[in-house]
Amino acid sequence: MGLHHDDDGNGIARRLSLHLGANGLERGGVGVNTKARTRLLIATGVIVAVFVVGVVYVVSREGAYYRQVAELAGGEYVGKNVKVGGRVLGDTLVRDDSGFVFDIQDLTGQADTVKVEYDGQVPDTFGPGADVVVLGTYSESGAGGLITASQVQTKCPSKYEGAGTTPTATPAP
Amino acid sequence: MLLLGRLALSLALVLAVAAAVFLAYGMKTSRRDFIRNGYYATYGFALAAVIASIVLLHAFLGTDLGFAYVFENSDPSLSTFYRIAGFWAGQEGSFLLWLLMLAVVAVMIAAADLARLRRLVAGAVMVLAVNVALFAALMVLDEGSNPFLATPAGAGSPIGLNPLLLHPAMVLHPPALFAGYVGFAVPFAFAISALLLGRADREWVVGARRWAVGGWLMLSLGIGLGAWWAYVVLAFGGYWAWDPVESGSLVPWLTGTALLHSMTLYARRGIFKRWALGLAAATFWLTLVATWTTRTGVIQSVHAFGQRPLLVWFLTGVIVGVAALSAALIAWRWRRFESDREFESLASREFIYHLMNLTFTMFALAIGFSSVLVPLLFQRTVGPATYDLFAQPLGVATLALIALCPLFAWRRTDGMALRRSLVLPLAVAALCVPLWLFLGFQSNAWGFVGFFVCGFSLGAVLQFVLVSARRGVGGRPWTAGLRRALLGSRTRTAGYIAHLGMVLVVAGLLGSAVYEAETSSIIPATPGAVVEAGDYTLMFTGMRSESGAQGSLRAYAAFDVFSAGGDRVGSVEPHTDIYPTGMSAVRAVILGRPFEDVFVVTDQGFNEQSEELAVRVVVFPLIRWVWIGSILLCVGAAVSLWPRGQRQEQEARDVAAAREDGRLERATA
Repeated sequence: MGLHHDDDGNGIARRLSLHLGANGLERGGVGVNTKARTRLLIATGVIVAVFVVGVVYVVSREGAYYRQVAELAGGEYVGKNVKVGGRVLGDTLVRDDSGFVFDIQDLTGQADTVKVEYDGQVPDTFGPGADVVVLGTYSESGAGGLITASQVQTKCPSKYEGAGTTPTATPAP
Repeated sequence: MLLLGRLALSLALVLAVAAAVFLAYGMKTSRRDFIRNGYYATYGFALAAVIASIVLLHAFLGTDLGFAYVFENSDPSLSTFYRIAGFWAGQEGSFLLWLLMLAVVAVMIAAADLARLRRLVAGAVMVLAVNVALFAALMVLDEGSNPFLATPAGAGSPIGLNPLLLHPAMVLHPPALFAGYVGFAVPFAFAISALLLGRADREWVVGARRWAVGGWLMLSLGIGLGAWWAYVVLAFGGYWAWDPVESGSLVPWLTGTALLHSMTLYARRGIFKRWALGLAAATFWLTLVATWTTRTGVIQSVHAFGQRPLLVWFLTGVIVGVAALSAALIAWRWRRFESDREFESLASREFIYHLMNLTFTMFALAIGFSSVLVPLLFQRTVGPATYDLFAQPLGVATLALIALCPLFAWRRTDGMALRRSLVLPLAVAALCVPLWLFLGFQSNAWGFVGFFVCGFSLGAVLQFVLVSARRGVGGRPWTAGLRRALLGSRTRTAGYIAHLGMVLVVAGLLGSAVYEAETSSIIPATPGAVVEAGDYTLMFTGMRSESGAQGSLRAYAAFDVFSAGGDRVGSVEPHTDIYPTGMSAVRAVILGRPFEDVFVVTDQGFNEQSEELAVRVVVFPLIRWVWIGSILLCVGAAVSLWPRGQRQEQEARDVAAAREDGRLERATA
């Protein structure tokens, strides 16, 4: 397609010179247009401002804290949205009509675990030993921490690096 | 062979640097001999990139397990088609494919200019050569990016392609995306060249426009294929999850769409020059950011890869460098790239285009902010529901702008004329209401507003066709006017098709996202067991299995599907593929109904011994419109790219059209 540039160029350049000619004449009586320009700037400013405020508001209301399992203990995140990566402990996984309950273990080498309740759908790569990212609300009771999840994703069996045989955990600090 | 590949890469690096130096000097001093030699060096690095690619392709075709990269991404049992796909199954090969495409594009541009040796084109090829040099340098220096490394001794058996990726859409999705990114490198290259030379005329836009359209086409195709693959293969019950990597490809598509419109306005009317420059730089920059998020693992994503410091610093440096350079150049030439025309009124088509650019840019910024900056700066993350909160209104707003645009005149719009031209779109929108009611869309007020806008947009496209048909008649039969309106100008025809596609896409997105209905249940695996899913009832009828592709075992669970009235509307067989490696993949099946898809998948793999089945049924209204609309978007782009048969005739028509536009403007003013 690169071969046609030159011909295009001639065609468009010729017809643009027509526009340029017309412009030259119209440029004379400007003046009035500063008002239109000001309006344009004000309209743009208002739209951008509304949009920025809206996005920041939505994000600050809906955003979840991305944390490690080990960082949850301590009460700081009770009642907050959290997104936590962990490995599903196979012997804790229970599934029934109302959904899943399972524990996930920290991926940074700590022994901490947290319980997850989830009544939605999981990808087919989900199962004992799967690395998952859980999004949900964190709460604490006598029995320890609980995430009531609204979303559970398995880490993508990456098409790029060794197809799911190597766990792609975040490196230990 | 490994050595040949590495040599070819190094040669590409050296020649790309040489080309960039020659072209930069030739461009600065107007020395045509330097430009010519720069072009020859461009041929050289492209040849080197071709050799490197042939070496790797040959290794894949013969499954040469001495290549570490082949070892990781292929195995001898794969068919030829998937062996070729192994080429871009990993990062190293993806970079090589990208390098190859960039080099080929650079050569095509250089070859077309070899007889004229223009400074502007030399500058653009120089930018592309720098781009190639950076890629080649990264591949030579970073171990994880070099496809020509030997397999370590004692590595065992080959890893092979991930079974989930054994799907035609997934084979074509990455190259389509890369081609899109490469396409958008061209407007950036020309914009930088025009900025360096201070050339505020149209030549750079003319040189870059078709590449931008091509890039947009490939990017649309890539995103569409990825979504379709996710829908039919990933089986999570959707096509888009707002993962940072997915968003990464959508963001440049948004700014790229605005760029295409701005370039057209720049070339036709000499306005939106700064928009075009800024969007050209931003779109290219965003493709880099997309690569950065994908490849460095900086952003926590389900696609996350291992981190490599060299790669992170390299890509970060390039991103900062490109941003700083573009911003500095645009600031330097700001005054020179002023519009040829004054802005006259808010009630003008220019203002609608301005709003459209703003909407697309802010949409892109919002996605980028949420998926990159929020996690990096605030250690927080936002979920799909948050994106939907701003994506849905922005999608509908965009559609409204598309609809309004042709109803406004250039420069300023007469109120009476506007009211007259609103009649047809409003009538169509009103006529569509019974259809929306019939489909049950009154259950969500916001969705209903969106559908009303869809009907309005459809009417606006019709109105536009009618107006230009009537304008063209002048004594001839109305069919002649209609033909002229539909086919008279290729850009206009492309516009109709693409805008119609956009209406369908937005309607489909609204229908399938706002009104999707999902049920999941666990049933015993005995024939006669029943799944209730909204208006549908599924009855389990039995299981069977057979041997599938790549030595896998495929187990099917059959269901008869009944509609609310008790009629049997079809049967579905969701299945599980169990691979010799022990991996299994559940496959969804989709029963197409006139206005909706019934998507059926099992949540867990099963075989004939399974005692129960976890069945999930999702009803997606109008989702097919997304695919049809996406195809129309691509067809629209293809129409505007189609090589011109009778070029002279077309040119004459263009000039006539330009004259007519001018006349009409004066008439409406």
